[in-house]
Amino acid sequence: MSTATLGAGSRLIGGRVSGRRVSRLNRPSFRLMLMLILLATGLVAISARMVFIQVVSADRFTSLAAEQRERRIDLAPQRGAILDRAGNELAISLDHNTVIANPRQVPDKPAAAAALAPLLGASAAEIEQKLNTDRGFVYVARKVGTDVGAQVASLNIPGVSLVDESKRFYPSGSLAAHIVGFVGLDNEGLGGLESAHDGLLTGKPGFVFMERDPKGRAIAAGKFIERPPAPGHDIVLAIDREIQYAAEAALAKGIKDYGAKAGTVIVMNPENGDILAIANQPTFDPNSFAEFKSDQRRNRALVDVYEPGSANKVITAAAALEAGVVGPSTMMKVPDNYRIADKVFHDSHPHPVLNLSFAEVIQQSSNIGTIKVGLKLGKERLYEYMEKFGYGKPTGLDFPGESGGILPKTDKWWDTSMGTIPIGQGVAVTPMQIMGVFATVANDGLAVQPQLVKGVIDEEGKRKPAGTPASRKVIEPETARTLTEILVGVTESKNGTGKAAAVPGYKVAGKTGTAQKPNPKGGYEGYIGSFIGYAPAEDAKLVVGVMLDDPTPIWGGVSAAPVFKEVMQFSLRHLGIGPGSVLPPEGAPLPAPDRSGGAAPDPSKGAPVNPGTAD
Amino acid sequence: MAAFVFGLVLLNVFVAQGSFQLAELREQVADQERQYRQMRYEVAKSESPERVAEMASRLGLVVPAEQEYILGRPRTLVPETGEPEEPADANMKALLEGP
Repeated sequence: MSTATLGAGSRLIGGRVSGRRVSRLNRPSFRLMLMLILLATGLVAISARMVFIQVVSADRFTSLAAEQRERRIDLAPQRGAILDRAGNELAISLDHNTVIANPRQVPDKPAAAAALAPLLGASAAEIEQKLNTDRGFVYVARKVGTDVGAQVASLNIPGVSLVDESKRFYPSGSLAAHIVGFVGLDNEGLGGLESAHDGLLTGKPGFVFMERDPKGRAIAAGKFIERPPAPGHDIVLAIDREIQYAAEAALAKGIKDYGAKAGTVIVMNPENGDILAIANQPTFDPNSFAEFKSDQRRNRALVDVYEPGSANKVITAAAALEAGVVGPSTMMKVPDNYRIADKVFHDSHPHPVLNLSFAEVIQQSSNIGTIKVGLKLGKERLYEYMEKFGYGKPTGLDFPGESGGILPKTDKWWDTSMGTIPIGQGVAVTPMQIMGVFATVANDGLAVQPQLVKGVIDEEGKRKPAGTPASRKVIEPETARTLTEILVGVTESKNGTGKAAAVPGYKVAGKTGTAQKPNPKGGYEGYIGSFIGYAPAEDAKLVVGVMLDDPTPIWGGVSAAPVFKEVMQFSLRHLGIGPGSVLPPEGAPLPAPDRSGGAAPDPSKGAPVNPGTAD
Repeated sequence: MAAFVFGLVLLNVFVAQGSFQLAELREQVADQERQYRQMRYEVAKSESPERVAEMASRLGLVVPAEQEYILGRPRTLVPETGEPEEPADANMKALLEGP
């Protein structure tokens, strides 16, 4: 029995105050002990929790924190621009906004769709359908203008946000569309040079890895790793924007005036191979390429092949002159028909037997005269020169889809092939390949690799030229000059077939062509009218080629020649290339320009008598 | 010791402020670059040959149909007397005198 003195007159005996029992809870020592136990328990619990968090689950919470704090942002590279030779933009990328959403975080989808619809130009139902999904990410609208993006942002719709995406623009619309090409929604090159040089233009993506605060700002002392994106290179083309426009305008007018189905115009510098313009009709706008058919997007100048017809007589003539088979003054009897094997070939119109020089045969585009010279040359030499002039293989432009044309080997030639191939039927070339033939003659027999890309501008702004194009001798300079004199007669002589191509003040050398088009079902149907020439003939700076598909009238000297004249005249003036004519001797009257417009074949004579080159 | 700690804290504050400024400047640079590219586009669009031709046409300008060239010989230098020499070429004389 325990006792305690409680005060005067009272005693605690066995837990009772004398006369009454004291509860254990009221004992100070017990309460102290209880408090101690509670505190200790709490402390142990907290300690245990701390150990659990900081030791046992340390890795898990560290990674959770890192996940919340660290962020990797991929940085898309800026796509390089495509420029013309003067640095004018033909293709450029601009930053746009893409509207994205996390549907799980959008509380009121119908209201959000109704608010976004008028800004994005889409129906509310369409947008609501995109939001009605269980996914955590959807595109609501790709690549909208930054002004539209700002309006979307101002709506403050939960779960809807913006990301930057660049969009490709072509400021001059359809200008040079077939050369420049176009890109898809993700800026991948899909056609033209956008596709051929996609790697150069795209650049390399970068990233930023950083720790950020709740407001998204980088933590100063935190991790920060940055690899900036390498922007794509700008590509500088040989194309001259103004000449390109003039070529396209002249071609469009020519197609309208002569009712042609399609056409091509090419302008190039024969000395350095620069392609100054490639115009095709029909054409398209690369800003909305999906609205156009593939037929309109095709670069006919490089992809389509056609039988060149009389334009090919230039190769026959070059080969014959080079081989010494004929000279320009070599006289020959030229009937209006000639039999080879079981086929009779004709000139474009009936005529009595004529006594013509070889130069006149070419200037008047006589099929029979050319066939006779071709027979003297022989098929092996003819084939050799067609190969030397670049037939049968692509030009080396590395353009997507470029064709090498068709040049059958001599063992595949028919008995009648020497009646067709010398006059340009039975072989097939692209417009660019036949341009190369004339460029070679214009350049004193030296063939220079054509080039579309002059150089690139790297991410530091340094321009790197493409390098000197390869060149090779095809014919002797003397042969080229002799042939040039003959071809000047096409535009200047009395019976020349190309007088409509003459440019006042300049000597123009060229050749007309009116070639039959092969019918896929067999035989021939329709015509390609062409004129290809160069000026100033004494020191050629420009070659222009015009091809019209099924013009009316069919004659290249009537339909294609005026288009040639317009394009050549503009280009010479634009580039400041003077006439270069030799002045007449002292006291002699100045030459009067020939404004007769050329003697066109008499339409009353109708279509050519027989299949074969009609020019 | 207290001063050292205080100094350390102050340094961190400056570094943090600096990083915020850097982020802001980067954003400004990106914005300027965006504006520059936009302006390049606007200029290219304004200078497009089709637009220039259309505006020229509205102003009544036309592409000349023909271009005339004057083929001349180099003239003799004016002698010190100040009197130009007569052109030796009769045609040149006719050209200078006009119709």
